[in-house]
Amino acid sequence: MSRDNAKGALFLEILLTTLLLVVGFATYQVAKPIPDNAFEPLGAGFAPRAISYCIIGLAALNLAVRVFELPRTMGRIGAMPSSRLIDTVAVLALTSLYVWIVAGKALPFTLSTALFVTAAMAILFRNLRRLPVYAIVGLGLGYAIQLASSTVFYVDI
Amino acid sequence: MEGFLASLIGLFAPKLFFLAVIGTVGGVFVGSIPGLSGTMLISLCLPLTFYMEPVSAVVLLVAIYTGSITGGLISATLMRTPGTVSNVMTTLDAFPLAQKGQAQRALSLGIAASFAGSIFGWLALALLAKPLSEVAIKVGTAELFALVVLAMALISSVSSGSMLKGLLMGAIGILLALPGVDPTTGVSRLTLGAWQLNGGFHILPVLIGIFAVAPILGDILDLDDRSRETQERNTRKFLFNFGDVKRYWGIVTRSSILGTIVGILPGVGGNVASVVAYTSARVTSKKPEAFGKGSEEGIVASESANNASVGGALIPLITLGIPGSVVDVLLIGALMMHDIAPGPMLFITNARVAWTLVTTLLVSSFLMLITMIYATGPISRLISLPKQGILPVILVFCVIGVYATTNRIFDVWMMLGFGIFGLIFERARFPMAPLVVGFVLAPIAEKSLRSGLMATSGDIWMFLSQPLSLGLLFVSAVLFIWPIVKAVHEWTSTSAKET
Repeated sequence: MSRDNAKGALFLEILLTTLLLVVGFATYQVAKPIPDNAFEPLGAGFAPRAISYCIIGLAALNLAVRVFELPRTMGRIGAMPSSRLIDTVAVLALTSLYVWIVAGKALPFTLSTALFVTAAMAILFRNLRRLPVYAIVGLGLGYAIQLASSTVFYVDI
Repeated sequence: MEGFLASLIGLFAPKLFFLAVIGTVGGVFVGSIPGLSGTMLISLCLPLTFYMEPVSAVVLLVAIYTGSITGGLISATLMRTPGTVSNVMTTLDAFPLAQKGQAQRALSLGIAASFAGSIFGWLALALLAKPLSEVAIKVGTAELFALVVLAMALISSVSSGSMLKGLLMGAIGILLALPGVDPTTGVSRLTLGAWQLNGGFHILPVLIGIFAVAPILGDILDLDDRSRETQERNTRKFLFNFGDVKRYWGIVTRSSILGTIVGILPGVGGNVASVVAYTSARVTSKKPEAFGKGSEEGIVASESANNASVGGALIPLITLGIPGSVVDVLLIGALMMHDIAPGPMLFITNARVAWTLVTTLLVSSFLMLITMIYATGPISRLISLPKQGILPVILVFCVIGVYATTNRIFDVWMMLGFGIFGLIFERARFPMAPLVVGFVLAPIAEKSLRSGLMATSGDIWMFLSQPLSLGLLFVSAVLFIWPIVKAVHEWTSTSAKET
């Protein structure tokens, strides 16, 4: 990992550890009212409360250690974002749209799969001239899955 | 012996043998493509196994497991990019040897060592699984709880990167296993009012999200990484002879023993095994300076160890129901989908499944050898297929696979959520293995703890009065506390230096 990427990872780690600390406190708050001692020694609330203590303790310690590392990296801020970050977000958005369409059956499955694969390949290859090739791959894939779902696995898609 | 032979003969039935061949070849192929892994292929095949008999599912998944560990050797040798993390150490010597024009020799040594290691791991599994599970049946709830706690401590402490982060991710994995209706009291907990969570998180979206979707998104982020160099691809000859057997049997035996032992440790797979064996081979070598520059000993040590770890990792899975590696978590997931609980009772309740795990490893080792000898050339050409075309197709399989198995679109959203979660946390160098091990083992730990306490009317000393559980809990406590002490020590020593 390059120095810039390592720095970026450190900042991200601090951010995520803070988030986990919040998750720990939230878990404790949600687990507090769970009744225990119903007819057994521990009850349903023991494990969530115990794990919330663990998460809070470990996250706090990790946060302290990483924040302490921070001054040594100051002045060198500037992690290189991946040039493919936008592509990743776009493919993720496309996948969400695809799931939404499949869930609502807004389009026939083969067509929605073909559209998803074509669009995703166009984004990743960055070559629109081959669009018909991507579409053929997508249509073939969609049709094959549709066929397998209706004749072998009996899945309602 | 009877069960073993029956299972071995049964494995040559056309359907099962076909699955073993498909699994091994598919595993070798996927393992050889950098960025894709056997773990990902097994995750994708999990929904498919839902429609199979348990024995067929086991054959397919174990065959993929065996094939993928070895497949990484091809890209490690020809492209300086390990196909899987288990082949990282192999790359250090196989690629320099290939650069010297000896790619065939590097591949041949790697293939032979992989086969030897695989057979060694199988021997350990075949000899130890049944007797150990007979002992494990006698293990009570206190010992089982202590064993599961030890497994969690081990995986967290040996996970890549910071041990503290390993522990934290293990705790998050346990947290993810808790939502749902408590099976003992019927109380709903941590569902946040979502009825879909009454049954907890389904194992499949978690596994596919973390092991398939997250790596796909990671691959997209790294698409512009063009640091690969490719070596000659004429790999038809198998350059290995009996002189090599005489020369390297010592390294193979030692590395395979190390690989098997490391594999037995819960949650630790071929990557750690190959590092340990490689280091050991370098220390004991007459030419340690050659390591990293094309040493044949380095290739042999790394490849025999990572393959031996497969058999080793299956030992705790069969005998205790504890995953020996991350892939074992997926195998447990596959068995759970068929209502089969891996563990000491497996040889009694599902003897055929247990013996199939053992015999498939043997058969797929031979299939792997044949595949690697005859298909390395074509595979080395195929692995140059553009990822841009493969990744969207795999994403479609992820979506359909989860939906087909659970029939709930909620689980597909969960899978995407876990994919994003896995990507972001991995980019921040949080290890994912402790999370999935915690997720799988938490229900076993909670159940054994609570049923143990119910049996003794809440007397916690039951866990400390038995010598075995006391010993295991003591080791676990040391493993849990060590990362914390280390972190505090690092913190205080750094602050002392700076002041």
